Amino acid sequence: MGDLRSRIALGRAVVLVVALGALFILFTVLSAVDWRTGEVHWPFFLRWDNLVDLAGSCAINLTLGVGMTFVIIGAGIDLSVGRLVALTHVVLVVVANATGSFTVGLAAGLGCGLAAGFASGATSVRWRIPSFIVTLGMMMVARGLAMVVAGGKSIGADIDSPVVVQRFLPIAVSLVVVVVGHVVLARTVFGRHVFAVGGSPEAARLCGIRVGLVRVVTFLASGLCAALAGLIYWSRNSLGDPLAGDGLELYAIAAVIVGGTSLSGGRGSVVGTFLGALIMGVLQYGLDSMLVQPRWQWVIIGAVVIVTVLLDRLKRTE
Amino acid sequence: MKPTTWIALAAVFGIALAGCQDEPQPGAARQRRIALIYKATTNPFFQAMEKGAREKAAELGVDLEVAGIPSETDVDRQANLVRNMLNRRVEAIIIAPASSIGIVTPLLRAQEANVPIVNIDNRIDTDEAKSQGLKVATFIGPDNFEGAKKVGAYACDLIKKKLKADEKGRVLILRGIDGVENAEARRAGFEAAAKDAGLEVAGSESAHWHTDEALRVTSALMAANPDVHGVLCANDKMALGAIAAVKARGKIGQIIIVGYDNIDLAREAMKRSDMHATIEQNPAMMGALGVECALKALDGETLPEVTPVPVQLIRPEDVK
Repeated sequence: MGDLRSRIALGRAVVLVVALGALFILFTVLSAVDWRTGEVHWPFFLRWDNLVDLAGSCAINLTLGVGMTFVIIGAGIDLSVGRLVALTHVVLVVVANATGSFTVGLAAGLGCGLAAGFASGATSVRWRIPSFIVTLGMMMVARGLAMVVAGGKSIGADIDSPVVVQRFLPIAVSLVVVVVGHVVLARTVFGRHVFAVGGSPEAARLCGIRVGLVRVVTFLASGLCAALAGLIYWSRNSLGDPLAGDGLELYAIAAVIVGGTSLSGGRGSVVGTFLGALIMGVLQYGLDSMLVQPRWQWVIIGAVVIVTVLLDRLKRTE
Repeated sequence: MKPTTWIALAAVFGIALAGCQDEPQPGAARQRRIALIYKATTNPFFQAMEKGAREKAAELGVDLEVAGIPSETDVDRQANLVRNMLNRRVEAIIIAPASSIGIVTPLLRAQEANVPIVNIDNRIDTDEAKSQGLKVATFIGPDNFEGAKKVGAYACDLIKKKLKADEKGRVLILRGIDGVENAEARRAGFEAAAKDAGLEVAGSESAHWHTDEALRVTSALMAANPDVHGVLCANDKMALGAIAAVKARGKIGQIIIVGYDNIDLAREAMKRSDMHATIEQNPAMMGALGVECALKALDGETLPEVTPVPVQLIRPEDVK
């Protein structure tokens, strides 16, 4: 572990963990005081219920962030994931309503995510179109298709998610995605190939790596993560909402970048994205629970994204 | 890692662990604590509603906690706010739902915690509530069908006065978000008004309550139907978009445009004679009624299923 690279990675993780801890302590302290009466009580931010809700509210961004990490390390970008969350969960709800079977609905939703991921990846690789453009198009296609499938309006799910599922499925799915994503990226040959392809496609090709295939698989992973995020959306809301997922792709990209993954590819980690998504999630949830107005939340979250990256940069040049 | 980092980490996890033991909270509730959760925080309509609720709360000595989502439609985020409020130990919830169906599931948590729910503005889907077993103390809202019919009928009258002898009047309808109850009721009200007046609906499209989208949709509809006589918009923000589209075609003043909500910008448009009528829904009264009803529900009073808020037609002569 003595080499420079892993020391840099560790240094970044420390910055993120400290930032996360600081936010957590901040909200704990703020939630211990009743600002109107000045009374001090047990901080509600630390109540078990609240922690579960907090983890649940981070789940979608975590899941999308892991898929995005693969794509970005492979030197691509996937702008379609937010709208894919809408499309896949609407497909899930419509198919489940029509067939009466949740399993069939889930299979359709996941299949839809994989198909969209494959379409983006294959188009971008086969015809050498930047993934930014292809996935920008896919974002619009998915948005429209979600409206088409839903018939232009929100639809209720016949199969509602029970309260236990509502609370714990998001956490379970996102944790599994993070663990699997980390293992695949850091411990498998495929993971090595993703880094190689993102770092230098030409060198990777000369080493005998099938560059195109690896890229397509990263988009498949991103599509699958979007579909899983769609599953989480269903479990939290029991609703098929074609307008869901507005801007989620930008949150996912921000989580990846805060986590220290390089936008130019070849460098990054799922652990970083995990911490990045938690920082953003804790911040948003904390600000919400402090009743901070949304307009200020944008300002604060944006500033924190910049400051975190800045701290990382300063620490590295030290 | 450096020792200081370890200490910081240990502190974080220590506090997190301590948090797992649920606390006994002594009942220091001298003041009632009520939550108001709404949507579209930039919409003047909801800002007026919030103001009305806050004033009533101050008058009655209620601790009112307010939270809202910036968009009309972010269901997941609004569900988070419901959970947040429950974690803040509010005793009652007043909610203007972003989705009449999607809000049911998160509200079940409130019901489990014996927190009464007062529904305002956009009515929670009664079928969905029934199927999931959600009970709502009361729904406080304007009659959107009546309101739309009122302003629609006024517009149709104006159009008919202008028509030539054998000309058939034609109108466009700009809808809100389909599937949302108030949007559906307003659409039905507009359609009923047009039918009663014997006018044809030449085109009907959703602009999702947004001004810029309404501009685009109206332009497209007018390109396909250059001879329309009026645009019935399900809210004032969309009416502003329709005005811009009609202006671009140089037909301002000739085409009757009506909206809904009576926002300031719509009143200014009426002063300039760009717009011809709107509906005042009394959002401030709605917010105030919300606080009153929440208190009554907390005292165990049974409330009527629907508490209506009167709507009134606002014409240019009312604002001048």
